[in-house]
Amino acid sequence: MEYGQEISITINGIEATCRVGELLIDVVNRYKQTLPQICYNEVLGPIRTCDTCFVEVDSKLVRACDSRVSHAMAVLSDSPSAKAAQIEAISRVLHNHDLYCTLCENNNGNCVIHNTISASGIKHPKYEFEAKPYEIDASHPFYRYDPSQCILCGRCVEACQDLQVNETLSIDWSLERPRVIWDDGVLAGESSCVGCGHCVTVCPCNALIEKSMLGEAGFLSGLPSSLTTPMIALTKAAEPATGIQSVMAISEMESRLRGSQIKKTKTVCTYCGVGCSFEVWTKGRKILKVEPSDGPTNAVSTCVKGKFGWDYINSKERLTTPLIRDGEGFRETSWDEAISYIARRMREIKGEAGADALGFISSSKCTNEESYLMQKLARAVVGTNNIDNCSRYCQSPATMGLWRTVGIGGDSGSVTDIEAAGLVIIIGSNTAESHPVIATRIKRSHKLKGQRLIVADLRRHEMAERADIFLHPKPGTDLVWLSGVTRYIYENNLADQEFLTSKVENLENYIASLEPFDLETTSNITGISKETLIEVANEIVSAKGVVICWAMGVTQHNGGSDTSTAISNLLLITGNYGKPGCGSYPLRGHNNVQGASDFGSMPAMMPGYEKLSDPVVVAKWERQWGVDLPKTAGLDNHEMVDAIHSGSLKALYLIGEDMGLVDANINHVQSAFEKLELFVVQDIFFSKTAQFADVILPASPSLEKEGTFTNTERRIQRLYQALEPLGESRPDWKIITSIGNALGANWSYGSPEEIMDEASRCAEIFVGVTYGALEGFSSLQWPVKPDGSDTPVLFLDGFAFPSGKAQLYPLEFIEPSEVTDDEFDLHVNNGRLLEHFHEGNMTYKSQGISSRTPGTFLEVSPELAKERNLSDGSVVRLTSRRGAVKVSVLISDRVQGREVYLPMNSQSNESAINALTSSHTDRATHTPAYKELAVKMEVLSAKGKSPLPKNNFRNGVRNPQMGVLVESKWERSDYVEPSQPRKDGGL
Amino acid sequence: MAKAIENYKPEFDEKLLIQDELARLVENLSTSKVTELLNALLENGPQSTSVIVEKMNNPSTRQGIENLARFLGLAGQLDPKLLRGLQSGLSATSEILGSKRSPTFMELFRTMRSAEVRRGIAMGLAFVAGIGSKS
Repeated sequence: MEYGQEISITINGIEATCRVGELLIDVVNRYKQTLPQICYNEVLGPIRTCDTCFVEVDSKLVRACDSRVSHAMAVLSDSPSAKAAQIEAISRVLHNHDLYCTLCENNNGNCVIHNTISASGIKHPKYEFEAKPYEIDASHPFYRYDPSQCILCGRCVEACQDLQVNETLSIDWSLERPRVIWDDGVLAGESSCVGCGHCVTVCPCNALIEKSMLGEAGFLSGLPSSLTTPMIALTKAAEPATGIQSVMAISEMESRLRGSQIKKTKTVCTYCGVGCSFEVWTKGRKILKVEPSDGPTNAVSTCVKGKFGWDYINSKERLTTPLIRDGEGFRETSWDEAISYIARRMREIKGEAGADALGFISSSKCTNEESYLMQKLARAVVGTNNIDNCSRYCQSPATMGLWRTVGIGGDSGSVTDIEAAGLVIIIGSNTAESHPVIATRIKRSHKLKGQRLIVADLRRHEMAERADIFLHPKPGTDLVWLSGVTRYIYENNLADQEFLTSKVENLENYIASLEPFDLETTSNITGISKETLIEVANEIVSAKGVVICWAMGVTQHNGGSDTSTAISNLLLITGNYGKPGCGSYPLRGHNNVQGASDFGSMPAMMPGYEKLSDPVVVAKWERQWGVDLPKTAGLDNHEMVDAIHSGSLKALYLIGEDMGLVDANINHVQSAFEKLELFVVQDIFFSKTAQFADVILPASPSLEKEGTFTNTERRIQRLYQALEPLGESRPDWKIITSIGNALGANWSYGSPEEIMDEASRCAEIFVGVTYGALEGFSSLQWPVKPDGSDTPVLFLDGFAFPSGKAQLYPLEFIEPSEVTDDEFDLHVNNGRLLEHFHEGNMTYKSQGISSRTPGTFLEVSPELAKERNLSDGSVVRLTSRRGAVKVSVLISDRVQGREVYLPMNSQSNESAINALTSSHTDRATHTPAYKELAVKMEVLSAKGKSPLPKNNFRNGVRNPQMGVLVESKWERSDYVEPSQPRKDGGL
Repeated sequence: MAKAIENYKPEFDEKLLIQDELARLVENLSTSKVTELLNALLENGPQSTSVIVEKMNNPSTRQGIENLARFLGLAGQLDPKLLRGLQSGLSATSEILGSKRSPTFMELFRTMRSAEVRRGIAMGLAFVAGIGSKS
């Protein structure tokens, strides 16, 4: 029979339709036949350790998770022999797990062991529980491991090894009583564990559990052991008389009572642009845990920030009342006074200097609805197009590159397409740290499915370590190698001619523009050998689907838009658009940086990327809003700073952005803030930027409001309110509405849904978006048609140009704006760390994160350290042409030669990377050229304390292996399959 | 010129995490889990207790309950004097179990001379004989 062929089998006598090759356990589950199962999880796949899913197939006992449909099988999950094997396996599980469910924090209705035992109907386990001879490991800041509760199912190991692919956890099957170990047997808190939380999430019981749950979840949890020990003993004493099911009934009752104790709210992560969604469990204002399960992008996956980094919500540094500048300080004020003051000053400034004397900066942290309102406030109420958002600092060049070539500025597919590609090329992206959950999918496909991986970067970061080919081009020369490889492919007839002929225009002009990029010249400019360039070209043309992911290492250059364009050109030449498993993926940096632009916070675009330069568009929005709109494009962030210095911009209303630290050349930016006549900052913290404000408005973070975010896949997802706004803080949409109304807008929005309804009525790409269609974990990837159908893969029916064809875009190479010389002899690369988001305003509030990564540091290569006599902890001053910082040194082979790396997680001018960066920008979009930076170094102190604590995961040593290695269990002399009784004292 | 005000520290009222005095009281009760349990019982009581009934109502559990009930019924029919004796015997047993010293043979012999001990042994033998006659 052919793989995939439809076939009928019987399960317990019921006819079931399935496909040849399908996993038997999936078919059994689909037909809702009772079958115990603990280690099996659809996301993780078969692990084959728990032995509870034995079924009888054609009179033979097999694991349903280890068998595939091959013929018209007769499957019995309830035959006497199958039931006996299942009960034997469950009994063995209970030998490894003490049942004290009513006292257990994991008894929340989703405990896999509890539910399996309950469903199995087992009356009395055959084997008594026996604790393992190991201490509880509570060394990790976010979770603890209790070996005695661990059933050795290996879900955590599978998740760590083959889903997250951090390769820290394993089971040591050689021990008399096996257990999970970290690295080679060190404590969890001293290992290479990155704290992603996968292991805790998939653990079927309480062996691995979030520390924030301990003593909180449950009515009887957190009792002293002097009380719990006799309670457990009493329960066990009663169990022989009443049977185990009555004990399970009591605990099930208690778990249902917990429904009132714990509130579970679906939300979307507020850190990076991957768009992980999950439930957040709260008790009062306490955040008990984050529980990922059904997120369309992430399923059970999270990173350390999304899983554990929520302490900022209840931080005592939250702003809770409006503040107004008063002499040398701020004084608390009422909302009425703050809003009235802002409206009065805005009116006065507009009256004196015109509407364009005001500027508005929206936030990628805020919702789509808030971005929409912010640009509406600027345009329809104040009358200016001076509206922008922080994508100006990162992603605008990527969008520009895609607009030029394919017509839509978004990822051309979904994360599943990245996962399915034959070859992934990552350029200028430290994906494992900046987009950790997307990295898990790439690492998994690379490790398990033969996906090829090419990484081009200055740093040998984790993805580079894992790559099949690692390219280290000279700084700022990505466009050159991309163009050289493209020329080589075309010249050697390796291009996709059919695709070019039918779907692409401007080939001739484009090919002519490649003339300077012969292999010899390309190699000379980039430092990449000709052989390697050819190898890369051959990898691309032989791959079944090529995906290119890129980020700030590409965009934050003076040629950022051009390099993004070169990426898209290469994909067009090789036919890697318009089908699943390929395409362009600019990895959006913030949770809603995509949505902030999508919903119109851009100086030349209305919501839905409708061009302000098109009179038809403007007329449409004028009708929608009932006002006359300004017709000329406004200022972007960068231009606003210059306009403040020149005196033409006098007022700025900025929400959710610490622009005083994250914009380039902050001395220049901060001195601009000082010149403003009105500066309104809306934030959840008293940020560096807020220090310059005239009025500070306390906003509410995502958990305290409703709305939608759009992730890097163009996926719109709803977030629901989990907590009340803290103090007098308010959701941004309410604050913007108040300011609008104080200026005469007469808005009556009662909810974010009403705002979305208005936006989707008018913006064509959102026309089918409704809150109803986004209920729960449902999502929509724009464009969304009127009938509600969305677009997971773009360009299936042609490109977004009038001709329907893509446009190859000729390019030329421009030198970086700043290069090293004799005086400024070091190149400074910069970016994020996994555990801190951006400058760290939110993540430093997490004790667990900041204890392991208390500050920023300068990565210095071993060669440079030797040359300058530096060691870990040496203190140096870096000086650029704009400013200076003082930082501690960390020697690392992630950087080479005279290239150093300074992460951006600093909240102080003294060590902030942007005290060094310049005001040079990408030519097309004004995105700062953060990555083009030369400095000189002065050693202030040769010796010092290492800036990276010993327990930071970077000091751990991974233990890679293929999953849980269940064969090692099966090979043990004390193991027999559960068709037979357990060997005395055996597994 | 609006210079940065670096030294300002916004005040934070920790009670906000609790909201107000009444909520604070509720929070304290909640910490002790009294209100949590009451709320839960009020909201989910019928639904959750039905689980108990559902789960208990099966042959195996019923058998266990029946056994327990027979035992309790039997205990109810016993002569109170016998129960008092059982109670006294159990507490004396606890004392012995609590002591780390083992009695000497001479002490055991002296104990056998006690009328209470002889009555206890006779009762034990009668019990054993009863079991034998019914099994």
